[in-house]
Amino acid sequence: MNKNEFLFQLEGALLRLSKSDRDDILLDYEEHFRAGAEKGLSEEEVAASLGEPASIAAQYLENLPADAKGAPAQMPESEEVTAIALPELTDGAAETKHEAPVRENVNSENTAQPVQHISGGRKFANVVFWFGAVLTIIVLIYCWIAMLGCVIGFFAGAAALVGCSFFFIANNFAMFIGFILIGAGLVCLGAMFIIALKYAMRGLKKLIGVFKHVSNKIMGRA
Amino acid sequence: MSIQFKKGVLELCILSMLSRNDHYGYDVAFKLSQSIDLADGSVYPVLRRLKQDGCVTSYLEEASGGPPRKYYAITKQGEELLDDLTGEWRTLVGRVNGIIENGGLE
Repeated sequence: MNKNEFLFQLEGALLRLSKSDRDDILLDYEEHFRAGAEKGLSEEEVAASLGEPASIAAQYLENLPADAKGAPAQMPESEEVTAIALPELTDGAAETKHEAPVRENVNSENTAQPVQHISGGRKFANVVFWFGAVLTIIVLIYCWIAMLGCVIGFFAGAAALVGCSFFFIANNFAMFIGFILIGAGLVCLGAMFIIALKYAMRGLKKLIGVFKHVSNKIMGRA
Repeated sequence: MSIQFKKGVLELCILSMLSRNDHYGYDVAFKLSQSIDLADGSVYPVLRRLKQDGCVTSYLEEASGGPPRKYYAITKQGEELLDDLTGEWRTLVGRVNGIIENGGLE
């Protein structure tokens, strides 16, 4: 086969990779053909010595797990940077995290492409963000009772102490009572928190299951 | 030689070549395929893997009367890997030779 046939077959066998990876690999082989021609070899001879495009592609695809994980970041080229579209959960801070430093090979026009790779760090940030947001919402929903109890207890104690300083009559004893009330308020707080936690845990466990399932789908490699 | 064995040997040979001199892709592929019977095409995936692991870098250099050529160079990490692989190779060869000579009996 000639050069174009070879490159065409090789490209076709590498469709699983991102365009920038694919182009980078094909460049190597174009150069190889060029160098072979300089040495006086025909395209057929060069193609024959290279071997089958399919088996070459298989060797690149063997390396794929490392690519997908965002292989050791010694070289900038090892990370793939493609942003996930999570419009409902990304705010300004997360947005800037996704616009990572541009590498020499990143084709920034390809944002329309489906997500191929996310570097490990960015994935983790995604996970933490999701988790924090969900956790906060659960706590707020399940714990409003607890929060109310805490607030009441705390205010009662504080009011007692303030009241003591106003009615400065039997000061020591009154202050003592005031502090006890504050203490009681804090104990209420603790108790409510523990109770609320029990409810929150239940809801949390359920949501963690859902979240894991969803994030597996998004990350694309369950 | 089996494919798997060749691949391990390929890393060793590529790094060895590059530790002496920078080479461009075709050079590495061509020289290796002359000594070891393999397809030139299997050299580039290994080169790419080495590059991803930080053992090798590449740069472009102007070639006379043509587009710039991609040269490969070994890195410090690559030198370290080369040392490890060379050591493993020598140990393996030594042991295998011992088995061949003694029939596995010490």
